[in-house]
Amino acid sequence: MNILDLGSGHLSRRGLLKGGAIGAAGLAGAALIGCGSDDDNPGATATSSGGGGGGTASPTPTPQVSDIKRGGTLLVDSGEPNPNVLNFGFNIRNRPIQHSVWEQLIGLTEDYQIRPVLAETFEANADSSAVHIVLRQGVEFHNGRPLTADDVAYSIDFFSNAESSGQLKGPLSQGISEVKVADNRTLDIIFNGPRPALADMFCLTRIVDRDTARNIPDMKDLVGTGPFKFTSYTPDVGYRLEANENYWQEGLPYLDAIEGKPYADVAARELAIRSGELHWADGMSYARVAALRSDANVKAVTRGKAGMNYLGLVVNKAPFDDVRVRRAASLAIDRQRLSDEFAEGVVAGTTLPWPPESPAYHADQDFPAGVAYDPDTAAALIEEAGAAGTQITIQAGAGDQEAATLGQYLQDDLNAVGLPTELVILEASVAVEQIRDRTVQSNAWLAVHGFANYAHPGSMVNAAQQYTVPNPSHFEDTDYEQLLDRMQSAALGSSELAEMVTEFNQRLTWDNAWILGLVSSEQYRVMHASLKGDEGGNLSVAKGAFSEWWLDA
Amino acid sequence: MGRYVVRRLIEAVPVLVLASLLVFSLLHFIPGDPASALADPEATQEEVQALRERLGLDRPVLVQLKNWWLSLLQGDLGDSFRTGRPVSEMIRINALPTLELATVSYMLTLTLGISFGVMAGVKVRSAWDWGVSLSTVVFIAIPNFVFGVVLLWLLAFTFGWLPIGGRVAIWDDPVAGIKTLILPALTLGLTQAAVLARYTRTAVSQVTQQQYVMTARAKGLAERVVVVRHVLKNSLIPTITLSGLQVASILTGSVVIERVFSRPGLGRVVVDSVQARDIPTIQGTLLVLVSVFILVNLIADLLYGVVDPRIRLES
Amino acid sequence: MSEAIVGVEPSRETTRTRRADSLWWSTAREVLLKNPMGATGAIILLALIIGGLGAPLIAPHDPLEQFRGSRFETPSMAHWAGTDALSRDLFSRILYGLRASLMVSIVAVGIGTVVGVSLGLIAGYAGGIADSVIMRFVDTMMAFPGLILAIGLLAVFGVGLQSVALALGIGAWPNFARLARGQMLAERPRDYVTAARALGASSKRIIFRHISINAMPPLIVQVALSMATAVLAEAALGFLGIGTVAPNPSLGSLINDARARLDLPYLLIFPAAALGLFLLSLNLLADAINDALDPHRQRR
Repeated sequence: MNILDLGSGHLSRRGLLKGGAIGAAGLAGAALIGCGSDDDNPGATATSSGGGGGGTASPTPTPQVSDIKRGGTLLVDSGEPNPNVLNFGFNIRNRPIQHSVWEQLIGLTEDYQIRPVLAETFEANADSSAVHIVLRQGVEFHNGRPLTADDVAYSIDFFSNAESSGQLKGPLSQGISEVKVADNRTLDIIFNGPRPALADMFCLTRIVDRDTARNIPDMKDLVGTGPFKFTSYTPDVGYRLEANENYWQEGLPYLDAIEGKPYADVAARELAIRSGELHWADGMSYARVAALRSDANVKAVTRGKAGMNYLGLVVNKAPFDDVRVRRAASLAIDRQRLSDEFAEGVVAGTTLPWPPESPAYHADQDFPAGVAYDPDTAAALIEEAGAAGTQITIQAGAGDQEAATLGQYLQDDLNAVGLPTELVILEASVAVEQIRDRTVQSNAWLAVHGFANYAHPGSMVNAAQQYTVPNPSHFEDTDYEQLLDRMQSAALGSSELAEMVTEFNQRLTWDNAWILGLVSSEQYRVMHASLKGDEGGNLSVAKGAFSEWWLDA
Repeated sequence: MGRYVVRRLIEAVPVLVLASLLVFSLLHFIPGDPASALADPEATQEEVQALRERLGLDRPVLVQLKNWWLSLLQGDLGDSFRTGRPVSEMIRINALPTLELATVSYMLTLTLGISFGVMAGVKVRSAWDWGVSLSTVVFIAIPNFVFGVVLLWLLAFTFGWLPIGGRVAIWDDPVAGIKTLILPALTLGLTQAAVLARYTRTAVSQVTQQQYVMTARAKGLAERVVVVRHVLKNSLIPTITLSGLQVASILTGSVVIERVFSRPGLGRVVVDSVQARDIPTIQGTLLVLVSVFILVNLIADLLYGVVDPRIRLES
Repeated sequence: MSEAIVGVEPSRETTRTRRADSLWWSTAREVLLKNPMGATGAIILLALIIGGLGAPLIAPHDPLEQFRGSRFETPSMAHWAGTDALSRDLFSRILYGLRASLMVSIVAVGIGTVVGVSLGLIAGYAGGIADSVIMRFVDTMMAFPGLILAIGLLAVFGVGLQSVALALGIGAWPNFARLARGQMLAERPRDYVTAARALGASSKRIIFRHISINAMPPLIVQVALSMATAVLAEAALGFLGIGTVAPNPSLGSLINDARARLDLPYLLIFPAAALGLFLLSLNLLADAINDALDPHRQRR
């Protein structure tokens, strides 16, 4: 369960940042950005795309206002909420609450443009070393208190401190040198240097109520400015959110209430969705997605390539200390079989930690063009390295059924090229600890990570620990470290950055080969046909999430 | 009788205390660190440490034990690491679906088990007896979860008569509620009924061969009278002990059966909590279950004492 | 353990006139020749033991070998029980699952017997404080629902067959302790013990030489019953996904796999049949031994 959640949690990160590329124009230059178009398509995202490795945008018409039915209670399930990471973590189970209760300063549109949310103006200076923010007028927290610039300052501080968690903390605490509040609606955030990538973080930073934020881990006072107010939560029974009558967006939300009901497992969820007892569920398995596609009452949708199952190699001990063996391992993996069998044809094999929409994604460097299935070359490389017959171990966390299954496929692939492989199933928390503390005992580990397509490729390689130095692989290389540094400060859209990304991809997939991509992990959700407004599986900071959903009952 | 009850109650206390000690110590030998499991996968060491302090895991074990016992005395099982809510509340909420399943299963067990057992026992070596004996042997051997998956395949998947799983509260929607309850209750009820039927059959058949039953029959008493007045009264004494034990078997069985049919309940709480290293929840749930078993056995013993006065005098 | 198969009560009253060595033969004769149920159980069990322990020799394929392109094949001459999601030979996996089940239950019951009988005999022989302490502990352990205790212990030991064997062994010993203590209390006042003591035999010798042999018959029944309980628990833990480490098969995990593909019933039928037969044979045999050892029980 744990690792599964970890994986899903990572997946959702991309959900949050869908379209996270804040346009090439982004924050470079003094462009005034706070003018999201109001006519962006709610349905203009991927529909399920088979093994195609990512969504294809297929615009569907915005529903006519007259079609929309108001009222009703939406029944959702993504599992039991995890209050310890409720408002900052990327836990899939927390999403319905996160997206309903809290909002950020800015969001993104489907075509990667900044969309104003709580900020009316979000303006970067010439060298991206500061932003000037003017807040929307008349926004109130659920407890009736007006939103002020102090709340923004408090929220930034809240997520920068040690008790908070997740990817926000590092960038916010290290990148921001000062928050200057000018008046109730105006503030300036000063970075400690040119930080073209830092705006990505403001799409994630939820603005919390300073009087109650400390109680969030107790699931008692969840107070934000969002379209729904939190009213109750009972563990194992569920939670209830009710429409915020004072919501700043006129006419929204359409629904009266949202009820979260945790179902025991995927099978129970599937049953409830089929029968209409549940309208929306997250975190479905490939097999269930494949099965549900034939049900006319159910829509199974994807957000496109949301993450990647990968095999991390530990490179400071034999046999993966030899790059030839690492390359051989990558060549030995039959990614097409993983796609067909492990993923039931639902997602494609991949080696690159970027979705196809990302400017950092280069199809010629991905599977199959970049690294194809070639067991003969693999066996020859292993022979050449003198590693034939070396026993290796791959670890996965207990309860993570997907990793255990993937591991069994890899075992067969690696055995076939002369690397007898043992699968080690660790207690779930131990497996997580070892990756986090960089103390992986096996030769390799299986995990999932979501490659949030931050606007700036530098954000991702700076945030995901597999790519930073130090990393759980113990991969170190001075040139590579310099590459990461240079990526941080390179301007968006520049040809230098494009070259750096190409080099990064080349190093990752072949030259240094320490993280072997396996198959995409796509973020699937299923919903009953009566639910409208989320045809594209569109729950992200890009849209108003649940606020624009409605029930065609 | 009163003294017997008091003595049995007093005897149960050290078992409970020892059980709580066992539950507590067991979980403190767990390798790994619950705080690490709970923290965000990307949390830093300080963040994990902060969480550890918040959860009280940094204090010495004896202090933790003392605090645990003190709060137990106040009926407080602590707060779940996983959900942040009181464990007692989680148990109370999850006990409902489990109790619902257990109660229906137990009623099935008692009615089917005793009636089939008696029918076979009063007519030993009849076709009835053979039929019942054979099916009990088979049902006892088949694990309940195997039987459950077979029923699932047959009645839910193949014929589509009943839902694949899940639970609907009976008071929300009685029809759907009963539908979701049928398969799991049948699974648990039938497997336990087989055990009871077999035991009852043996007890009844032994009694029917006793002198006084033969005498009663010889006197020309109606068979119904013989069975009810002489056979049942005497043969059901040992059955009471077994049916007491079966409450425990049914509660334990529901842990697995809940999984088969994707039902919420205490079984899911236990398995989820073990995986999440949710120590207070595991401790609380184990302790509550153990207390229930001790209580049920006590009640069975006391009932036994009521129907068979010899018991009270012995030991 | 409370969910032990409680249909059979080990008989406590047994003949003590028979000598230990002839007891084995007479029991075996009664079970195998005079009781058709017992004989059936013994034959099935023997076949399963041969299949399980001999799996490396008998199994047509390596249980982990993946036959690429043969995913979810229905039973055929090439794969007698079909193939699974990873294109592995299901028949071979069932044999290896049986093997794991046998190993776990033998080790678990072994631990339970050795620890339980030793502590039980000590408690019964020594009496006093030692008796109280041990039996209080036994009472406490027996109050725990067996499967739930095992799940809790697995959280401590981690997943894997050794852990399962250990956890089940810990769950099994109190039954043996209680039984052995009862036997000891019954035997201690008997003439031969007094005689041995008068001849100057040490306590240890009296316990392990004289008493333990005479306490054997009910123990044998308990062993058979505990085996059945262990097999059942191992399968249940495998089913819950905390018993065995992938890719190694366990009968329980094979059945859990089948649950996900109810459209392919052969995935369920073969492992369920293997597990069912295994438990059935153990129960039949335990019954027959119990009958054979119990002079009071009426022959059917």
